[in-house]
Order: sequence, then C-alpha cells, then structure tokens
Amino acid sequence: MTSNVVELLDVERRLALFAQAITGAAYEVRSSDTFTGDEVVVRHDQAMLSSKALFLPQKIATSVDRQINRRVYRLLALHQLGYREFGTFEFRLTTAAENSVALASRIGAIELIRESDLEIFYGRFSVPPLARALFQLVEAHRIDCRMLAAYPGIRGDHERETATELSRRPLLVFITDLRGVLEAALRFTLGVPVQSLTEMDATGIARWMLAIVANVRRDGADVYVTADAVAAIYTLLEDRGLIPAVSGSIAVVPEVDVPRPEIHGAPPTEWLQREDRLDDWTRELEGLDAMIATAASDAEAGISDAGAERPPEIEVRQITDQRDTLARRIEMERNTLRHALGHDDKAASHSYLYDEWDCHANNYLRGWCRLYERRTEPGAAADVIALLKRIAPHEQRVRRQFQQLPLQAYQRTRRVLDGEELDWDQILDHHTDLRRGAAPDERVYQRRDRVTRDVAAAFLIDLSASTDDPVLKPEPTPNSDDDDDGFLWQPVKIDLDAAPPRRIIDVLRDAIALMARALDSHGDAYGVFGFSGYGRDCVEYYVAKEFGEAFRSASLRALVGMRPRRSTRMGPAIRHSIAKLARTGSAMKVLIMLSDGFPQDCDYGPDRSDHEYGVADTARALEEAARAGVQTFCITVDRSGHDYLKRMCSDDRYMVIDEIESLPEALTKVYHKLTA
Amino acid sequence: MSRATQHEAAPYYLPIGDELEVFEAAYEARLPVLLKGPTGCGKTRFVEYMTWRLYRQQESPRQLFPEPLVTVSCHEDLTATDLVGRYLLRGDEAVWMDGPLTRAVRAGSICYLDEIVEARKDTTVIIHSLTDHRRMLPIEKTGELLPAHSDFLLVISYNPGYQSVLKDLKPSTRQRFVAIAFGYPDAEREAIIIAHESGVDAATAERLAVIGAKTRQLADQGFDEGVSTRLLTYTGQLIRRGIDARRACEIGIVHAVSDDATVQQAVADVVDVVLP
Repeated sequence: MTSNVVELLDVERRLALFAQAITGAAYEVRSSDTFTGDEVVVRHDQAMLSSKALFLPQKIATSVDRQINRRVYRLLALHQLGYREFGTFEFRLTTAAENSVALASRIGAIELIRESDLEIFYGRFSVPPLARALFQLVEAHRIDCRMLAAYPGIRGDHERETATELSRRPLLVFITDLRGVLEAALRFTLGVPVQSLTEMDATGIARWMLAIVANVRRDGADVYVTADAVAAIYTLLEDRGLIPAVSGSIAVVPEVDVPRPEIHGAPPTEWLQREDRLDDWTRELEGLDAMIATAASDAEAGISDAGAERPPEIEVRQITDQRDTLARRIEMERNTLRHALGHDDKAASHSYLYDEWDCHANNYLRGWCRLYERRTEPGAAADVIALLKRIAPHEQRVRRQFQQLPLQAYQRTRRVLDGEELDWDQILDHHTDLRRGAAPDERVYQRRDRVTRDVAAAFLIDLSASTDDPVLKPEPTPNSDDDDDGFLWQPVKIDLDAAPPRRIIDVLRDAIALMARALDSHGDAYGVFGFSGYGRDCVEYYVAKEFGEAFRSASLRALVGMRPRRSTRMGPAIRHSIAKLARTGSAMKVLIMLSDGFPQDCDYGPDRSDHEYGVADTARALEEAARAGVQTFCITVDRSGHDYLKRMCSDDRYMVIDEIESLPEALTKVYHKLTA
Repeated sequence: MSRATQHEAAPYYLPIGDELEVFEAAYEARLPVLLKGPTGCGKTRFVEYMTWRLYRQQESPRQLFPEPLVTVSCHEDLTATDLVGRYLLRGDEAVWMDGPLTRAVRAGSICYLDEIVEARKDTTVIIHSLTDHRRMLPIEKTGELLPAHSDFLLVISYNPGYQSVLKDLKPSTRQRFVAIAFGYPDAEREAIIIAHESGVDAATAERLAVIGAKTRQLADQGFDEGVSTRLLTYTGQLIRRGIDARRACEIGIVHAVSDDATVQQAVADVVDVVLP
C-alpha cells in the first residue's frame, strides 16, 4: 500500500524549479527545521520565505490522498512566494505617506533609522504588536487574492485547505472583544460570509471592519492598500475603545495572539523588507559613485580648460563623506541580515540534493548532501598572464598531441543516388551498360559524409585546502650519492628573493589550462569544474567553463580564480558531474577527476577519522557513473594514492602521479586513451 | 530545403521594435542581414513578412518576381553544392541545375539561409563574395562568376542561445552582415500573436503567454530557452480544436520543452496553477 505521506525530499527539486519559474529567482527549498536565523522563529511545520530559500515542512500527511498532500506543498510555496511577487517587501514609508493622507498623518516625519520601514510603520501605532497582527492578517489575504487572480488553477486547493482551516479554528460564538474581532476578520479572509459574522458581533464594528478588509480584494491591490486598511481598522478600534491598555514592554500582547492559518505559513518577516531596502541603498551608493566620478572628470577638465568652472571641492568632499557613510551602513546592514536570516553568501546559487552511500548501513542516505553550483569568481588578470607564460613552452607539444586525435573527418562515399558530385567512373560504367543494353546502375554520384566525434568531457578539480601545499620534489632514491645527511650539518639557506613555491593548485590549474586551450581548437565539448565544501549541507561546485562555452579570457580568469578552499567530499561532486554530462546528450561522456588526496570531510562518515566511508561513497559514485555511461578516470598527485584509489576504481581507471610536473603530459595521455 | 510559400496576402507579423524600418533600410542599401534570436521567436515569419512588403505590396516594382523568397533550412550535411547547384544526368547529357542560392542571385530574390551555423563551415565561405562590394557568386563547377541581380539580398539567421561553440559563426562571416536581434515578445504582445495565430480567445491566449513567460524563467534548468511562441501557438491550436487546455499544454509545452522528468513536473505545475 502506498503511503499518503509526502516528504519534502520527494518534491524538493520540483518545488525549487516551480519557485524559480514563478519568481524568476533561484530558491533553495529546505525543510523548516533547518532554518538557522537568529532573529526569526520558525515552527518546524510552518512554511516561511527567506530571501534565498523557501522553508517548508519536512513532510505533509494531512490528507489520505498523497496527491493532495503534494499539492498542499505547492499551495504553501505559492503563498509564500506571493509576498515576494506581489510586493510586500517593497513597502516604503515615503511612498505610503505620498499615497494616502490618512497614512501621511499617521506616519508623520520620517527619519532614517535602521529598523525596517514596516517596523517603523507598526511603531506609529499605540500598540505596535496589534498593528503588526492586523498588517499580517490583511496582507495574507491580499496575497491570497492576488495569487488566486494570477494563478486561478490553485483555487481548488485553496478552497479545500481554507475549509479545513476553518474546521480547525477555535470556537467563536460572540464577538465581544479584540480577539473576537481579529478572529472574525481572519474568518472573513478564509471565506466566511459577512452576514454570519455580523450576526455574532456585539461590538458593532465587524461590518465596518470587514468592509475595510475587503478593499484588498480589488484587482492589483498593492501593499499600500493593506497599510491603509490597517490604519483605518486601527482607528475604528480606537474609536470603540478596543485597543488594549499596555504598560512597559509591549513586545507581546496576548489579546492579539490569534492563530495564523497553516496555509499562510509564517508571516513575512520585516527582515526581508530590510533586505529589499538594501537594494535601494546600493542603488543610491552607485549614484553617489557616479557623481564622484563625474566631479573628478569635471575637475580634470577644469584644470586643462582655464575658462571652465571648477566644481566646488567642498561639495565633492561632502558627497564622498556621504558615500563612505552609506557604504559603511550597507556593510553593517548586510552583516546584521546575515545573522538574522541565517544565510551566507550563497546568493543566486542553484542547489541540488544528492544521495550518499552509507557503507556501514549498506544503504543510500536520501537527499543527504546539498550541493551548491556557482560560477567561479574571476581571478586577477596578472595571474592569467603568469599562467599563460608558464604554459607557453608546453603548448605546442600538447596541441600536436591533440591533433593526432581524429577531429572531424569527411569520408568520401561513392556510388550513391544523390551527392555533391558526379562520379565519372560510375558514369562510364553507366554508359557502357546502356550501350550493351544492360540495366545501368543509377548510382552515379559521390558525396562526402561527415564523421564527427561526439565527446563531452568534464574535468573535475579537487579544491581542498591541501592543494594550497607547495609541490614537493620527488624523494631522493635510497642509492643517492650523498653519504651524509646534509641537514645534520649544513646551515639552512633562505632565499628571500626567490619566487614563492609552486603549489599543487598551481600545477592543477596549469595542466587544465593547457588541456583546455588544446581541446578548444580540437572541438570536443568539455567543462571545467572544481569542488570543495564543508559538511554535507554545503558541498561547493564551481564552474569555470560550461560545456557549450568557448574557452575565452573569461574562462581563463575563472580558472585562475579557482583556489584552495575546504574539504573533499567527492561523492556528490561526481554525481553532479554525471548529471551535467548526461544533459550534454553526447554519445561519449568522460569524467576526469584531479585530486591530491583521499575523500574527506568533517561529516563524511560517523567520525572524521573514518576514511573508509568517504572512499566507499566515492567508489559507489564512480559505479553510478559507469552505469550512466560515463567513463571515469581519477588522477591524483598524492603518492599514497594507490592505497585508496584501488578500492575506489579498477587499476586502469586511475593514475598516481609521482612527479607532479608531469601532470599535463599524463592528462593528455589519459584523455587520448579515453576518447580515441 | 524548401521554397518558401509565396504569400499574396500579407503574412501576419506583429512588430516588436523598429525591425521593419531597419530591415527596409538594409534592403535599400542591399546590406546583408543577420537575424539572431531564440528558436520559434518569429525570425522566419519576419523574413516572409518583409518579403511581402518589399515584393508583393501593390506599389512594389518587384511585384511580378515569380519567386521573391528562397528559403534554405541549413543542416549539418548541407554542402556548397546543395546551395550553388550541380550537374545532373539527363539522358546522355550532364545538365547543370542551379541550386537555391544561385537561383535567388539570378532572379533578384531574397535568399534566406535559416540556421546558417548548422551548415558545414566550408559552405558558409561561398557566401562571402556575395556579401561585400563584389556581390558575385563564383560557380566553380561551371567556371561562371555570377553577378547578383540588383534586387538580390542575402539574409541569414542563427540562434546564439543553443548553438555550441563548435557551431558559432566565424567572425569573417559574421562581420559581413548587419544584425537584428530578436527575443520573445512581452506577454501582452505574445498573447495577441497567440490569439491571432491559433484562434483561441483572448483570455486563453493571455494564460498561454503567462505560461510561456514563467517557463522561460527556467531556461538554465535543463532546457536552453524555454517554450517558444511557436509552441504556445501550437498549443493554442490544439485548444481551439477542442483538446482540453491542460492536456494541450502537456502535449504542446510540458513534454516538448525538456526530457528531464523533474523539469517537466515543474512546468506542469506552472501550467496547472496558471490555467483556470
């Protein structure tokens, strides 16, 4: 019997894609219990939107129908995304004051302070928690209305879930106090008719209040309609003496604690509004930068042209001070937001979940690793020049080796019915046959058929911290001529002018750059990727060059931008490469991984010293590659590589490089062997 | 390879920007034109429409040209011979037969090489002498150096989005053309196009256009460009012929844009929530 339970893991990628289609931005879909922000409390069974992630319950089993449970996920997602799509976070006090006289008098003078515009707005009421509760209630209804108008196909799910929600609400017989008024408003937003609510009303304001709430049902109602409604309802409550008397701290007011419907998830946090406001500040900063640049060029022109008026220097100084203050404020705000919302700099990264093989349990751990794919930050132009200088002496040799690979040949086919040229030998035979009365062969053309390679190759570079180590010279052989150990008596010489030692990462990058430049002229599709990360929830996958891209200067900058980072969780990186290779649709798919050590990560196995777990998972990932038609090859510069590589793959699928400088040549040979 | 249909009535085309004026100016100066844009965004229809404006409108001096537009859909086995012409055996004789390009050059037609980068690289070289001041087509096999008719114009198209680096235009070819870039129209215009081309009502067309716009936001997730205006129109045509809207979208959009099952499910979700 099929379970009715839908786990988030079952629908995670589907929902992430759905969220991207709806908003145009990449969203991670995560379980609510993984939220790590310091300033926002999220229940594990509640949906919630952050700027980069959509948090949803780990599982849904409310209905006996699995299909319905899956659709509930979609409904929760669409409502949360609605706060972004329909402009909740675009709320600005200045615009609110411009839009409405009532709001203008309520808001009063606006000073620039760090709180979000929404928080400041709530603060303009005598009981801010009540203003917040009203805003969240009315805004959720506005989002629902906009959502139902834009996505009418969700109406059925919405109606079903609101009906369920109503059946769960606390008993309401008479509306006599503030809590009752708020509950009535909420029921109204869930579809309860006005009349049935007003019949219970002992306060006399329900009819008026619901009419105000209904304003947000208008086509295209924006967040300012909500703000207007909040101010109007609040005034109504004030007039009827329903505002609670509070003293001291007013962070929590029990009278306004009306349970929020589950379909609405967590209310939109004001922190997201602050994040949205950060974009305004960034634009302002850009404007100031432009003004400073213009002033500088004007000043320069003033020097060369005596007749021109020079800009007053004092004004430029003021703008510069203003700019510096704003830049500091932006940086502080970013840090604050990072702590509050619990996300780091994974902006605009797509994330993917991958299973992991647990050799101890002899089982796959579902969706165990989260891999973030992102473009590599470009390296410095000077580093590119240095790299090109280093590889220049080897380029011709590598290129020659690649020229030996058949690229794209034309094969002449004779005796065909249609072709580019007549085949004169066949025409002679044709005429001969005709003259002697035999049936002539009509195939008198010849053509050139193209025979092409259809290869996609992924080069996967280990970017673990250890690749920052200097390249060690090969150990001297035991039969060395030296009779004595020099260290025992020779003073250590330090050459301060010497160039910094070459690191493993330098050699890996040089080898890949050589390969890439040769391959680019050759024509095979190839991608250059790096991987690292720390922990199963943060596997990093860096893209220097995608399969379809040409290897241009930007790719070189991306390649030199690849730098040593953290750990070496190979399994998910291999699995992700397999998925990328599969998408190329090429007939021959090749994955070449370059590393400097065994797979390891802080939680790659029950304890950190358990190397067997990582090796087993990597071996399993390589098996998966073989099953997916991807040929793999592992190259390591770790001299002890035999110990673990022979447990990960067969002898003909790996190579241990003793002398790291020979890597480019080895890489070329491996590529030839795999693709010839 | 096919000859384009000659439209006596104007083919339907809804301008997005100033492309009509730009093309007409290029034609007046006989500048070769390169049309860049994603698949199914209306490049071919644009050429057909411009051909009608330049050759079939009442005031056109070229009204009597029998074949105003010659279209060649390029493919990887397209050779120079296919474009220029070849000798054919007819009885005891080897008879020369002009290819579509030669035919257009002689007759003063517009020759439209669709998806030019699909053709073999050596093929594109033969158009070089037609696209500079010489306006000549050398026919190697007959030894003829054919001057282009004064009304001849070469138009090529390609899709920079999905072409791989292996199928990029050489700079020496690209820099012989003035380029007009096309994109998908905004949802409002796309709805008008869908309604006109498929015959569905305005509300359905609007919904299909929204699906198109939303789906294109997934362009980097398993399919290159998202759903084209052409696919949306096909879907509209299915709906117009009585197929249930969701089923039509499944056939025309969901299964057509990607083979990735998860992407298909996500697109199906978009369809499901956007349609009433």
